[in-house]
Amino acid sequence: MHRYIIKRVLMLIPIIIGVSFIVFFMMDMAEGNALDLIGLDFSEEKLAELYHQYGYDRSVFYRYLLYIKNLFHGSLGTSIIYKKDVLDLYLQRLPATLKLASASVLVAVVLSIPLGIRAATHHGSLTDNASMVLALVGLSMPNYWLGLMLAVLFAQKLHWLPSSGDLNGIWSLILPAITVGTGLMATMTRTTRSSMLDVIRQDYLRTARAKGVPEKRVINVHALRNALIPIITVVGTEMGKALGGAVVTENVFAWPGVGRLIIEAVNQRDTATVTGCIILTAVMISIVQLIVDILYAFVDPRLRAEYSTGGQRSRRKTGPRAAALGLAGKEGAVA
Amino acid sequence: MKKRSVVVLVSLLGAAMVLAACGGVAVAADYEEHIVVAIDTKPTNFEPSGNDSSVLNRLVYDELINYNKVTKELEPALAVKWEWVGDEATVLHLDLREGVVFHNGNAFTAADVAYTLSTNVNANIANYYDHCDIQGDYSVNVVLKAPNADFVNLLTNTLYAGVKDKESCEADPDNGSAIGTGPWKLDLEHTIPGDTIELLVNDKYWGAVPTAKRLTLRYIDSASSRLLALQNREVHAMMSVGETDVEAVKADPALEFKSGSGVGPAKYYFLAFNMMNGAAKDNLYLRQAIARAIDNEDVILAVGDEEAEVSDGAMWGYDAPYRASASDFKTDLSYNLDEAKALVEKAKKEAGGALPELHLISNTSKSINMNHCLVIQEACRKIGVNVVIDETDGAGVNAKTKFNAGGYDMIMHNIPLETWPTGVNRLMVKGNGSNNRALLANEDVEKKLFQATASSDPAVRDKLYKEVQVYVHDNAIYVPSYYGSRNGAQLAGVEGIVWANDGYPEFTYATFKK
Amino acid sequence: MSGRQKTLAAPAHRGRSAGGELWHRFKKNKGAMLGLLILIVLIGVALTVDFWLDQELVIGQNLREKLQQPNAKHWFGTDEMGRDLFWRTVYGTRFSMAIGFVAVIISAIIGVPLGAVAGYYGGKLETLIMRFTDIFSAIPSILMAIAIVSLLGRNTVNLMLAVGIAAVPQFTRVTRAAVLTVKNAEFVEAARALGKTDAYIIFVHILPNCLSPIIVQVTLRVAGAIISASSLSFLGIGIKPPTPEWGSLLTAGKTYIMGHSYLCLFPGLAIMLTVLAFNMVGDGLRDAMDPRLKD
Repeated sequence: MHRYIIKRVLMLIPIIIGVSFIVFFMMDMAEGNALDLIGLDFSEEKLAELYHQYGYDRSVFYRYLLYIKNLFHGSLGTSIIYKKDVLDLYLQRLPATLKLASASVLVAVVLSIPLGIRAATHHGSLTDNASMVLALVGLSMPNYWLGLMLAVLFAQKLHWLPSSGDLNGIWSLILPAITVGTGLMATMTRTTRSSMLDVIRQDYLRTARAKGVPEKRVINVHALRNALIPIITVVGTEMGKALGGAVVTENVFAWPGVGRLIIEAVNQRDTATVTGCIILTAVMISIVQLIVDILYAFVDPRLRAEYSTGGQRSRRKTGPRAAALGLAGKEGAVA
Repeated sequence: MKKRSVVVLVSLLGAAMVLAACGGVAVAADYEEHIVVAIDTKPTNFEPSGNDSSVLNRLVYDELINYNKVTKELEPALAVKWEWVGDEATVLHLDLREGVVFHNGNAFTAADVAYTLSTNVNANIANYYDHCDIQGDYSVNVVLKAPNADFVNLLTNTLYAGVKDKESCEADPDNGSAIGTGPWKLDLEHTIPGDTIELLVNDKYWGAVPTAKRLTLRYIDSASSRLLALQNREVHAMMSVGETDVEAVKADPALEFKSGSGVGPAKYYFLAFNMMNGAAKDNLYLRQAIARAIDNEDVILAVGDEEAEVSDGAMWGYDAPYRASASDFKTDLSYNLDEAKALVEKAKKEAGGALPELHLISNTSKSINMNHCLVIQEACRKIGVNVVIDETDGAGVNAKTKFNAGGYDMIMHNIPLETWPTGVNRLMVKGNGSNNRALLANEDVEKKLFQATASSDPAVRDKLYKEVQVYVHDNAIYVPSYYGSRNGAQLAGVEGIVWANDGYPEFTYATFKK
Repeated sequence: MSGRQKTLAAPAHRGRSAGGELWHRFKKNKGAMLGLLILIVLIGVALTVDFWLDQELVIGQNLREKLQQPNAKHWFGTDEMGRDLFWRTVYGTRFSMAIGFVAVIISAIIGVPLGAVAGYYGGKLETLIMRFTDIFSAIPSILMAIAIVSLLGRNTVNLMLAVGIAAVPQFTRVTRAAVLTVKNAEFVEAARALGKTDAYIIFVHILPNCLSPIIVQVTLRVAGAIISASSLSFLGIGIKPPTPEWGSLLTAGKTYIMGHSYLCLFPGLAIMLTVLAFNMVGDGLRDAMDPRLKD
C-alpha cells in the first residue's frame, strides 16, 4: 500500500508539468496581459522595466522555462497583480474553500444517498418520481438564483444567517454550503438511484433474498455495497471540482475561496496566480482521486479479491486489477 | 418612565454585548468601534502609485496637497505651502508639515517626498517629474522636465500621489510601501488580498483622528450581494447600488441612499471611433451619422441611472475649467434621426456603395456597458448601419487599445475625468496615450495640448483646450453620451462618509451611532 | 448468470428488429413518451422559429416599457431593454437546444470511449488516460474556452467544442468506473473465451451493460452545458447580441435578480423543461435497453 501511494505521489510530477504547460500557454494565448492591465497609466519607462523584469520582453517559452526552473526550486512565482507570492495567496484562500467543499459534499452525501436508495427500491413510486423531479429542479436551477433567493429569505427577511463572507464561523457556511450542495445532491441522488437499480436486478440479490436474508440487509449491505463504485466516483469528481472552488457561489456570498481567486486572476491575466493555483488544485484533486481509487478496493469484493492476489491471477490482455491501479506485487494491504 | 427604563435596559444590553464582543475593552458608549464597508473594486496590492485603489489610498496615505471633493478647493496636507518658482511652471517649491510620523514611527521628511516622486510609476507624475532639490528636512523644490501648470493638482490625486516611507520601502521591497502617514494603518496580518482589507486607526495621525478603532473594507463583487449584506447589517455602508435596487434602498427606512451627483468630477461614458485602422476612420459622414442617430436619453434609460446627465458633446470633465460648450461647436451632432439618415446617404456616396459592417467592442462583463452597446446597435440599425457587438472583458479592451493594436471600429468606454485638464483628458487624445481609445494621433492636437499645459495664462489655455475639444467633437471622434452618477447606501445612523461623484467615497471619518 | 449474455444476443420477440424491439418497450413508458413529445416540440420550434417569428418582436427595443412584470401583453414581462421576454425565450430555443445537445454529444463521444478503454485494459494505458483526465479536470472551463477560442477562432461551433471538452473528464471517469464493475462479469469472460475481439467486447457486451450512469451524465449535463455556454459569452464567443439564447438571458437577468427575479425565472424554467424531457427520455431509453429486463 505504501509503495502504491508513493508511486501515485511521484505521478504528480508529470501532472504538475502537464498542467503548468497547458495553463501557461493558454494564458499566453488570451488577449492582453497583467502588466498592461495594471500598467494602463504607468509611464512608458516603468512599463518597459516591468516587461523586462517579468520576462515579457522575451518569448513565452523563455518565461515558461523560467517558471519551471523556479518551480523546481519550490517557488510558484509572484503575482503581478497582487505583488505577492502565489503560494501565500493560495494558502490564504484554501481554508475557506476546504470548508465549503467538505460541507457541501457532506450535505449532498447525507441527503442524496438515502433518497437515491429509496427511489430505487420503490422504483416507479411517488417517492421515486418526486425525488427525481426534485433532483432535476435542483440541477437546472442556476446557482446564483438559488444562492440569492436563500440569502434574501434567511439573511434579508429573517435575519437568521449572514449573507456574505467567512467571518461568522459555521453560520457563514450554511447558506453557501446549501447552495453548492443542492446541485451536487441532484447529481448524486440520480447516480445512487440508477446504480442501485442496476444492482437490485442482479441475480445474486435474488439469491440472497431466496436464502432468507432480511430485505433491509439485502439493500443496505449487499446492494449498496455493489452500487457504491459509481457513487464514489461521482462523489470524488464533485469533491475534486469543489476543491477548485465554486466560483458562482463564492461570488454571490463574497466567499474568500480559491475559485474566485482563480477566475479573477484569469480575468486579470495574472498568469503566475492562475498557473500556481491550478497546479495546487490539481494536486488536491489527485489526492482525492487517490482516496477514491483506494476506496474502490474497499467496497468491491471482486476488486478486493484481485488486490489480494496481486499479479498472480493474470487474465488475457486486461492484466490484473492490481496493476491497473498501480498496486505493487503482494502489497495486499486492502484485503 | 416605562419607556425610559426600556431604553436603559436596551442600552445596557447593547453595552454588555459590545463589551462581550471586544473582550472587555471600554469603548465610547455611543459609537460603533468597528466599521465595515462593502466596496466594489478590489485593492490588490499596497503600492499607492500603482494599485488603482483610490478608496484604500485615501485611508492609508496622505498626499502632499489635498483636494477637497466637497468645497473643490486645494487644502494643505503633507505640504503646508506650495508655490511656483519663477514664471514658468517648472519648479514647484513645497514647505512640508513638521512632526508627521509614518505608521512605523519614522519621521516624514523631504527625503520621503523625493523618494515617492522618483519611484512613482504613474505617467502623469513620471512623465513630468525630473528631480528634487532638497533644501532642508521640511523644504524642497520639485523640478519638472517640462512646464506643467496642473502639477499641483496632480499631486492631490489619491490614485497615484500617496506619500511613501523611503526607509521602509528600501528595507522591505514587498510590503514597505504599505506604510503611509494616513489616518488608518493596514493590518496586513488579518488582510486577505483581493477580498478583505483590515485597517486600524492611526492614533498618532497629524490631523483629526477618526472615532472608530477598526475599519474593514470588504470586496463584494455583485451589487445585489452588497445590498443584502447591508440590509442584513453585516456592513455599515456599500458602494454602488444596483440599477433596480435604488428604489428598494430609498423605500427602506433603515437605509439611506447616497448619491454624489454634482460633487467633483463624474465618470463619463462615450462612444469612440478607431481613428487608426477602424472601418469608419476615413468616413466623416458615417461617424457623424452614428453620432446623430444615438439618443442619449435612451442610453440613460437603458443603463437605468436616474441621476445621470446627458453630455453636451465635449470630451471634458463635468465641471472642469476650460470646458467647451455647445455654442463653441461648428457642427451640430445632437440627436436627429432624419439628419442621421441624410448623413448615411452621404456616407454611402463617400464609401462608394455599401457601408461596412462595424464592430463595436466594450467591456461587456459590466451590464451597463452591455445595455449602452445595445442602444448604439439599435440606433445604427434604424439608419441602416449594421453593428456587431464583440463582447470582451477589461483585459481584452486594453489589449486592443493600449498598444494601438486596433481590430475594432468603435468602442464604448468610460473614464473618470478629473476637474483639472492635464490629467486624463490629455491621455484621451495624445498619441500612445493610455486612455486614447480612439487611437487618435493628430500632430495639431498634440501641439495644442503641449502649449496649453505649459502656459500659466488662463486665457491661452482656455483657447487651446477648447480648440482641441471642438476638433474632436466636430469630427465625431469621441461621441460622449452622459455623465454617470456614482452612488452608495449606508445604514441610518452612519455619518462622516463623503460620497464623492468620482466613484471613490471617503470612509475616513465614518461613524455609526448605535 | 451466463444466461444473461445469451439473452443479450438473441431478441426476445421473434420477427422484430432490435430497433423495433427497443421502440416497443420504450413506448410503454408514459414518462418517456411525454419527454419525447416535449423534445419533439422543442426541436420543432428550434428548427422553424426563424420562419414564423418576427425579428422585431425578438430584438426590437422599447426602453419606455423596460423591466415590466409579467402581464397580459407581455406574458413573461419585459427585459432591461424593454424587449418581450416570452418571444425572446421562444426564439432562444433555437440556439440553446443546439448548444446543449451538441456540447454533450462532443463530451460523450470523446469521454466514453476513453473511459471504456481505460477501464477495460487497465495498466499503463489506464494510468495515462486517467492522469490526463486529472490534468484536464483541474483546468477551469473558462480558461479552456479562452484557449480553444484563441486557437480556433470565435464562433458558435467552437463555443460548443469548448463547453463539450470541458465536460470530457466527467464522462471518462464515470464510464471507467462503470466498466470496472462489469468487466469481470461472467458474460464478458464467456465472450473472451469465444475469441471475440476487444472492441467487440467493449462495445457490444460491456458498454450496453453500463449505460445507465452514462445516460444519467448525458441528460444531466445538458443543463450544465447551456448554463456554462452563457458564462463564456463575455469572451465574445457566445451567440452575438442581440440574438437571445437561454443562458445569456439568465446572465443578463442576474443583474436585476433582486427586484425582477422573473428575468431569471422563465429562461431557467425553459432550461429545466428541456432537461426534464431529456431525462425522461433517457430513463425510458435505459429501461428499454437494459438487457436484464428483456423477458
